[in-house]
Amino acid sequence: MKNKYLSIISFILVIFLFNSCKKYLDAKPDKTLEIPSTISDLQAILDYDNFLNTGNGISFGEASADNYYLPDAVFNSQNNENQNAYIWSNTNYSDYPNDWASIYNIINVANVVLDNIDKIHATTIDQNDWNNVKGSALFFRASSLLKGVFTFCKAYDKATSTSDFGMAIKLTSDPNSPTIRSNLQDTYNRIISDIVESIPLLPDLPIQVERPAKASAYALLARTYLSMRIYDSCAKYANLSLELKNDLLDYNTINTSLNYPFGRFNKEVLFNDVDGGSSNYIVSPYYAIVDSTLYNSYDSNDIRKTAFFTSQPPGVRFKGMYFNQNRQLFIGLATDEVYLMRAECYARSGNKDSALADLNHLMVTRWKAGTFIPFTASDAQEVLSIILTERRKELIFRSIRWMDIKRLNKEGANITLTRIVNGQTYTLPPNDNRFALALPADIIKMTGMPQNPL
Amino acid sequence: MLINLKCNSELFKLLKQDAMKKVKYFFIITIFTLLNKTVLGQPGINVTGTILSTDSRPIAEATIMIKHQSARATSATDGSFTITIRSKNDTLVISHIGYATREIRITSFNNDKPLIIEMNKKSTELEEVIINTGLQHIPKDRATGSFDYIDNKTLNLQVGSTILDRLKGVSSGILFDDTKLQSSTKKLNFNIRGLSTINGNQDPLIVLDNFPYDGDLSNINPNDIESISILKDAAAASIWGTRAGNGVVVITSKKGSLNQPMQIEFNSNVVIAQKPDLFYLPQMNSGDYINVEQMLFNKGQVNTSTIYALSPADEIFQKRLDGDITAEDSAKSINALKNTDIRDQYNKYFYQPSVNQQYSINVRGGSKNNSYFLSAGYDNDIGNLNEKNDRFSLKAENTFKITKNLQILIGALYTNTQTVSGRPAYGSITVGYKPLPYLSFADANGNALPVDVYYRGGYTDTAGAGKLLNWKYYPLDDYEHSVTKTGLNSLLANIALQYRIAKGLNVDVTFNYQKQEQGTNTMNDMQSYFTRNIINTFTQIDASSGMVNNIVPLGSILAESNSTVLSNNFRAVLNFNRAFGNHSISALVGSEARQTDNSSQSNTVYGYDENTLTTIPVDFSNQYPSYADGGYSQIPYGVAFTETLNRFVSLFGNASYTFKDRYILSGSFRKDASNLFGVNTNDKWNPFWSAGVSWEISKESFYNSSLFPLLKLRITYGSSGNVDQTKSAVTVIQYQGASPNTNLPFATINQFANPDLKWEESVTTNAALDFATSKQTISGSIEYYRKKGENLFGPSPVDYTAGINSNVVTRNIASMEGNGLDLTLRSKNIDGAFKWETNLLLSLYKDETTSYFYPQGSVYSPGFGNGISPMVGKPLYAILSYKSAGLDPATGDPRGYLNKQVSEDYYSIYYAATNVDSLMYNGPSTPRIFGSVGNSFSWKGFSLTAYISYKLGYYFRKESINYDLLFNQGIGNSDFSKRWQHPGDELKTQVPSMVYPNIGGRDNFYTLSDATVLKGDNIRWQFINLSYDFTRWLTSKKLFKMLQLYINASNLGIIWKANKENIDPDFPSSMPTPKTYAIGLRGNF
Repeated sequence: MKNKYLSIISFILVIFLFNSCKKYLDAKPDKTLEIPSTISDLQAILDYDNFLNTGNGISFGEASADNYYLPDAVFNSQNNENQNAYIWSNTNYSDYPNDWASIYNIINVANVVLDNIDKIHATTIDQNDWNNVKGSALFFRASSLLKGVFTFCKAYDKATSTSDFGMAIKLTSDPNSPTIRSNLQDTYNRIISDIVESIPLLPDLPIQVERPAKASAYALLARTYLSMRIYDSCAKYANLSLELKNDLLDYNTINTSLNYPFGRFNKEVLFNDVDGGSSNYIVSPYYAIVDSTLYNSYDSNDIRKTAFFTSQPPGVRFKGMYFNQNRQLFIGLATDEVYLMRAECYARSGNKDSALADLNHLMVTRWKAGTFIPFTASDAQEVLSIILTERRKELIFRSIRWMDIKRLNKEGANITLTRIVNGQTYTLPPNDNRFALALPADIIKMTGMPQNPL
Repeated sequence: MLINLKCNSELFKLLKQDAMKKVKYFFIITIFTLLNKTVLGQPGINVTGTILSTDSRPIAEATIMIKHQSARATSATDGSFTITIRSKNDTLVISHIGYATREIRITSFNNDKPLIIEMNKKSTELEEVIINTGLQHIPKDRATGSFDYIDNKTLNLQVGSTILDRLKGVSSGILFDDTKLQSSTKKLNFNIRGLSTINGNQDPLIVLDNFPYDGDLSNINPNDIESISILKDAAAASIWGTRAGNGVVVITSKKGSLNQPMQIEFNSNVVIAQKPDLFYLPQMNSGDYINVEQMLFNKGQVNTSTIYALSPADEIFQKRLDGDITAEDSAKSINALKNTDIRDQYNKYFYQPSVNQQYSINVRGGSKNNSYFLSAGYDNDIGNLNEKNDRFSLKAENTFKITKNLQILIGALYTNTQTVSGRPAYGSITVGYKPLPYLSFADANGNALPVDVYYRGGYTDTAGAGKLLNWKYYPLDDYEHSVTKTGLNSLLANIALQYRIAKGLNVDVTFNYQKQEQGTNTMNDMQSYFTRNIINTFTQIDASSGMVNNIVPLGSILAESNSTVLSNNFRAVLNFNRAFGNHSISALVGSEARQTDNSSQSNTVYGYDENTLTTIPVDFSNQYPSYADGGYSQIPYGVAFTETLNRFVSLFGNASYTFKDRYILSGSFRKDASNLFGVNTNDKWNPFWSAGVSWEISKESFYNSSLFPLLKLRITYGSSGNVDQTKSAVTVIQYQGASPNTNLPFATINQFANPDLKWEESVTTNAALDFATSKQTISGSIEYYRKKGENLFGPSPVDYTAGINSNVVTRNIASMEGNGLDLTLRSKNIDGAFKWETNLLLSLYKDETTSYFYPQGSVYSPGFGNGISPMVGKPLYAILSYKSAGLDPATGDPRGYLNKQVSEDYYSIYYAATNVDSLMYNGPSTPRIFGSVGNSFSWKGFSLTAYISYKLGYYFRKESINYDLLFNQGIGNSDFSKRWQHPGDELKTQVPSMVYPNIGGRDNFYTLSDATVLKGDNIRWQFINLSYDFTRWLTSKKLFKMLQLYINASNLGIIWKANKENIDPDFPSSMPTPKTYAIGLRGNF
């Protein structure tokens, strides 16, 4: 009798425990959790725009460039990292978090997507979605790596590109994959091949400019070739980009008295990207005072003078970003930059008239209606110099000036940077080693990668 | 009964739930089986009864034997027993260690009238203590493990309104410490016997009435609690599993018992706490502060925008600069500000003494087949800032004896709590985020004054030219318009079936259900600054027509959130207890399934009208420019849903074998599994085990000590583990809703794959000696324990080129070891009409990190000692500093050492800190020695109890002036007045001089140098309790069995401390808990 009851109960216990456990324990602890396994999961990762399209971290490049200066009191209130970036002191580069981390955080997200997307087989119904995910991930990886090149590498020079330091190329999300510094040529090759691979996968235009598309991929490729000073390829892709989207914003239609005259995602924006990087504090218009020579170079009929700037003691501040929140700088891709790239390449190839046409087509939208006198020039060289001047004035605080200085110095522009802080003068002569910012010391220690020459 | 019905219907609702289907089947089968039972047992007469102490408390584990026969029974927790006699006139012999043995001759026995047997306590013997492990009740003298027992009398010595507050100072090995940082792995402010993990969960497990308690402990009325058992060693983990590695606190509530006369118990008290001492805080002197503001203003550091708030002093400097006021007026206004201290304002207008009233009553009793316990409690608390907290609780518990062998227990506890927010606390009112020391909230006539929180007074005066709402913030009455109310309903229900299958063999099936619903609503009405500010920010005024467009509509803003915690537990246990001559076996095996479902939702509505219950829809998707600065933003949305589900399944068992009442062998095991995400099923199971022996040497025939007539040795050893909840073999993403920019759903990467992570392992040894001198004059125990943790988790630096959003990754990189000694001594110094007893608790504890993989070259950063800083060879909580070389006699700069040379190169000093030895180790930041001494005196009806507690052998870091924070964030410190100002000051101060512009790294160096480290040792009054028992004055003891008036004083402060500065080491950066005084009456009849 006793045994009967005992065995029934033990039996129930055992059944209960071992038969039902597996299912019972396979319930998700949180409904919002997923193991990324579908196309829409991967798309959702790429749609985290507050991460992928902001804070991408190229801010130390802009902080090192010459669009602005800091009054002594502001400089003095900054932390050591920001101060060092301002006076090009390559020592004590900040440990984590920093631009290096921001760049590779994006690359890893792209790699997580790329590692998983190939495991999913697309059907005819979702082939386009599959393509968009893969193309977007390649675009983000290339775009982030290019930002790294602009910050941490010297200007591209074909003669030395295989011996100059590039970036570490990460092609997998495996956390144990080694970090090896490649040369600049290999780094550029990877950037170009990623973009080229992405182009056929992407739609012509995105459903939303936080997502990449063919038009922005062509523009990114043009920007890449421009930084390599391969101008024919730059012209080719700028042209392809403009064929898909060539809208320009007539500045006569905007209210320049506003604190944020330009709306975000405006019609010129190909791809939205915002600088929320570690040192954007000092290049933020809250602190950064615009160089007065630069400010004075805008004509009084040039709407950019009032749309881009506001005067508030102790100086002129920038307000012309194609974005409208928290003084964050727009560093994405827009049609005005593509026009300027194509114009520059035309000029460099001696095509004076096409260059002028592009330039004037853009500039007429920047001037008060009826006041614009189209630029003329006697030769392509003169057009080039006008274009470079207007490029500087149009693309201010877009985080490409640092790359432009390096690149133009390679072309013999002889741009020397100067800062005066607390009565002391700091200079950065053309082609100085410090144009390639030092890699973070902790990364050097941990990986054994070679540091940039200081 | 109503409550029982409610609980039943809740139960049935639950039983329908899919997840518990298995449970339902088991239930039905079990009940079915039980109802179909046939009569078991032997021929003879079954005698039932209950064994009670003279004060009507049930006595468990008493042995009932029939004289000259082998039959034997043991009383249950509620004192009940059943034994079969062969014939009338047999004699029952009832014995129990703490009571005088009784013999009762059964002349007649009527089954409707069970026996009630009262036993007298043996005054010279140890009081019988039954430990409740939550799974079984063990007499303390038969336990091998380390268990502590806090009885009802001890719990009543303190008057705290939450039950754990009443453990302070009265239980050994428990350290209450409010100075350590709280985190997701450390939510409670105490730990039991230190730590067994570095980065894993550090909290003890709380068990209420045999089940882990997921609710808020403040829901439990302490007057409903009978006792607390604390499980401290490896046995705890092997009984309770994964969450028990840091010890278990088992809370047992009061219960009725069968055959017990009705008894009513009441308790009522009022606790008054003083205003907190605001002047304890190291607030910078207003005059000093304004002088610094003046200096910064003159240097151009103050960004005088026309819109954003300026401090009152900066406003005056600006007016003077603009020539709007004369130098004389400026000086006068500045002087007035310098003579203002914001603490006077807080004291005058916001703080008040707090009053807490507690009332509770309970009724208990039982007949032959039924016992009951009913209680009601009400607490009303008005806090220091006029925040209100009401708690109402009802508890009912019934036991029905259905048949001789089947007993059902049904219980429910309902708690309702209501809270209302109060006035703003010190430090919460800032100007442009700066905590100024000199604001005024009211003018001389008591009228509310505005404080410029975000915008300048001049701007809010004129902005919108009268078309905006008043844009000023009035702290004096704003809190009346921004009110947060919380309502909480909690229901905890139990149903338990106890069935006796055969002699000594029982099955217990228990189902427990907990539901806690909490609703919070924050109402910001039209008068509140919050609402006016949002409305103004989103207002658009057409420049030409002057038309006003309110993007956020006029009306109140109501934010609501609701959360539910639903927890189901099911447990089935098979118990076996038998004694055969010299052998006695007690064993159990069981399984448990447990599920906790947390869900919440929140919502914010605009344009809310309380009277008509109407709201106005708003546009959440588009961005609108701010009226003040034109920056674009969306209207705060506030809709969110969350749901988490945790499931655990366990299999456990334990057994103990006693031979000749003096040799005990015990062992236990448990296997746990949970629904961790992204982990293989095999990896979800974690085994725990423990084993123990005990030997009561004093029962051996060779033992003949008159000094220690009781001497007992106990040893346990066991192993447990811990799993990282973020452990994942695959990358896990988490959906976060729609991006506000694109309205597309997005997901973040929540966990990166970390497949190499293994379980943490922890091995604990406990060895103890219990002793007592004759007549228990001195009794106590001494316990030694040792904890070894291996493969512990830790953040290990990672090459962040891997892009995992962090520069560290969790790996099994550490090991630790802890050693401790707990001494408990109780002495009866005088035992007569006047009694004097002393209780001494002494704990010694020492731990260290034995290995921690940190690559060479990493920078070690000293800290405040409030988080774990794992350094090999040092305690887990340690204070490490930059070695200070005093102040530079010429400049007052702090100096340290770089390569053994005096240096002021702060960054190089920072970078040179590549290992522990390059820094200075001050000592542990948790006490090495702690405990309490309590003395109780009683004479006639008076009794006086006073406890002092002590913490010795540790250090803490005080806060001091940080010029970077002062210049940039306006955060000052009273140490400013002690700063170096002239050569020679370096001989009397360690506070650096003020330098502008600030030198990078200088503040960090000083703040984290040994100049700010102080010794923490202190002795404080824990509480004093004086009571008088009126019982002797009562003419008839029939009415009151006990009537006691008591007064209590707690948090009386420090008696002695090692540091010479006015800093209480328990409160290095916050106000000490105010002194409280209580008066109350308790009684039973």
